[in-house]
Amino acid sequence: MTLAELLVATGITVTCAGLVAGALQVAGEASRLQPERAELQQRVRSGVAALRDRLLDVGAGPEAGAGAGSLARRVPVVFPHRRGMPGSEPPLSASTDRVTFYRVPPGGTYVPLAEPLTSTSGALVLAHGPGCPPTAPACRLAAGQVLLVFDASGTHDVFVAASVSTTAVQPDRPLSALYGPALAAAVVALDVTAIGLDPATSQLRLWGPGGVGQPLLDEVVEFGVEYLADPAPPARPRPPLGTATCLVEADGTPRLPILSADWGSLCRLSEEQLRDGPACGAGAHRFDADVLRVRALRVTLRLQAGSASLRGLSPILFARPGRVRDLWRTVPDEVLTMQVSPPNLAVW
Amino acid sequence: MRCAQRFIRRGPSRCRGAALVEALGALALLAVVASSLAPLFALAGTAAILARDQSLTTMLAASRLQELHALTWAYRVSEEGAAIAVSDTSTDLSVVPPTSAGHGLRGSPPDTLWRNVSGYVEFLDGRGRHLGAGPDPPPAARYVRRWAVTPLPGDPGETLVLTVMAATMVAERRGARSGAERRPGDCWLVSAVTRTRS
Repeated sequence: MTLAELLVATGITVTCAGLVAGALQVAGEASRLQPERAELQQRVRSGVAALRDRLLDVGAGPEAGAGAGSLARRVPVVFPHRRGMPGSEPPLSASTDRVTFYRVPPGGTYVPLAEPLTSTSGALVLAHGPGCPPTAPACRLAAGQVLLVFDASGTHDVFVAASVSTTAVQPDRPLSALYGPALAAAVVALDVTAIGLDPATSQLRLWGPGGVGQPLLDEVVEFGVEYLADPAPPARPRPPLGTATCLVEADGTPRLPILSADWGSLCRLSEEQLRDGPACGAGAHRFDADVLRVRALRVTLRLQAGSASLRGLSPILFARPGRVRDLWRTVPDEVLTMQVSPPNLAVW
Repeated sequence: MRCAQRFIRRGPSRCRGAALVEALGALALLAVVASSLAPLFALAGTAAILARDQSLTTMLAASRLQELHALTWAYRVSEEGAAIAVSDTSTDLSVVPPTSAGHGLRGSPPDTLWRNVSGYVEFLDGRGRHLGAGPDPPPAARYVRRWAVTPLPGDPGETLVLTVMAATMVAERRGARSGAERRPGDCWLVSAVTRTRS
């Protein structure tokens, strides 16, 4: 009888211990997975917010004065490569996993040129602009600032102000054209930002004019940008009648074809279309004329759990499969696609 | 425990069966405690799912709002220099890729935000991918997205109010919506688009 009782007691103990161990294992897995799922969700939220905030600002122009309004009316503001910074890619290259965009920073100054340049390495002599006394038109510019000079033909240069006097700015490099007041040339402060995927670190990175990238988001395994464009030839920048540019003949006839819409009333630009020309501008500031058609960006982002011990074997759920066989013990990748239509790209 | 004390004091003969009853009692107690803790884990899992749903519905609504903003609503300058109002009245955003067989920015019927009206509703799967358009949701649909385009009463020719609603199908099935009522967890975003002659 004692032996029987002992056996029953042992059986019950073993059963209980098994049940408790099983429950503890489930609880342990849950407490390991939930923080990772929450963290992945948090990265998704912050990534979406960071990208949307930055992309909505694309093409923002000066807020006041004669040059107020979208910068996209004057120059291209979206490029499918890294540009305008150390480590820039060739100006006519195109890749879907990076994007560079221009905008005038809040309070940025628009200052027209007073005199035509006589040499591409000369100083830009400025006329009176908003927010400055007539005797000191460069009052809101400073040495070291990133500036954009452009004219009505869409030709433009990005440079750093090597020195600034009260009436003139000396660029740090020779410019690509002889800008002048005849084509309404002007200077504005500029923010240049590039966003792209660094496959080596699996980070979405943000590059500024200094070319030093800072991480925006970790554990990103896919970042893609689709460029949605107006099928009609770009209407801006519009040079004075009689001036031929890469966009229009001297009589105003568009040089670019009408594309066929394949995304509602818009069309998707392929990498080939983004680099096949016609090329506008000169030197490092050449650009494919099709970038002037861009109206919206469609961004795809795929994020994964950091540890391979949280990723399963399925190549559908995991861009970089891990080693876990049970699906319930994994944190699948999050894939999201969003469209951003920067208001400043709605240029007609 | 008392049996064990008696066993030590008097020997085994007077505590038959007591150990089994005590063990069963302890087991029942353990089961009660464990079953009261189990919902906590379920609750944590549910909270995580709800948080994900809210993130995704917000993102889906914001993206649709941006897609509506990308539709043409502007003035173009003719060769003679006249400003001509141009509006996209044909893009169908309820399919992927969008086609030209829809309503674009044409004013929508009054109930498109709480009823499945073709051209103003889209169903998506658990990862936010397009599954189908109205009026009947596909079985695998996890989210629904509806939108409305309403001319601003004070400026109907120039300004449109764009409203997008995104929700889970679970919330949709839980109860029919009465009018413009908002349910917890629904995401509603409202924006406006204006065109000017400048």
